[in-house]
Amino acid sequence: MSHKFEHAKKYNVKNMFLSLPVQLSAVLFLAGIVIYTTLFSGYAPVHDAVHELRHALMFIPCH
Amino acid sequence: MRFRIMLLFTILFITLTKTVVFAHGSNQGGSDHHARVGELANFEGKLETTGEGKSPYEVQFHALRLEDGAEILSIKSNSTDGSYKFAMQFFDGAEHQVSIALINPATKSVLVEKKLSVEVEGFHPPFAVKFKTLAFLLFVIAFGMVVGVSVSRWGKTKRNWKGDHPHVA
Repeated sequence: MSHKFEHAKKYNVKNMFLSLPVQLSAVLFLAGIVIYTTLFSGYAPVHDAVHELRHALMFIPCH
Repeated sequence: MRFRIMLLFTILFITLTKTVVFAHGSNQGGSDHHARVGELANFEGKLETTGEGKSPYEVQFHALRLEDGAEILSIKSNSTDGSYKFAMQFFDGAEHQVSIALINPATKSVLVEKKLSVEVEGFHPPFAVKFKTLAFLLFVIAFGMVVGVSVSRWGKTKRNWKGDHPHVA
């Protein structure tokens, strides 16, 4: 006698991460990290690399 | 697991580095005037004339960023006795040069000119400013994603409604 649990395959963690809302949230989270690093980080190499971009954006009025 | 630890360390490293990086030449000192980024800096005084020309004189105010020679502000005003009063905000934590010139309105020649070097103090953006800006930018991205998904779903619904099934060969 064998039992197959199809629902276990459908609702596992891997499939949950493949859903659209979770993927969009992950993209938003990554975008947040990139924006924070680019525009607000005081880490010198990053700051120097995007110095001109910050000025061009006229978005952050102090550094 | 290793990826998560690396990600956590990266985020902590980026957020905890409180080093303020100033623009080139901003910490050389020896300037005539001191200002802070985003705060009003007042320039007040009087330029002594030798009696040339007729009042009212024109007072030309120039602010120049020494880092790249960019003109930040240029305004003109009038004065009967050579006195002036200007206020401006600096956007960049670098050294600037402010020049105030008294101009003869008839000949447009410069009668007296005063040049001031201004050391603008830069500082790390306050947390509230960073939070608001980040929230605004993320909202724009989220809005774009919602619009994109909606358009995609709307197109799919429309195709299905028309009886078009592109996935069926």
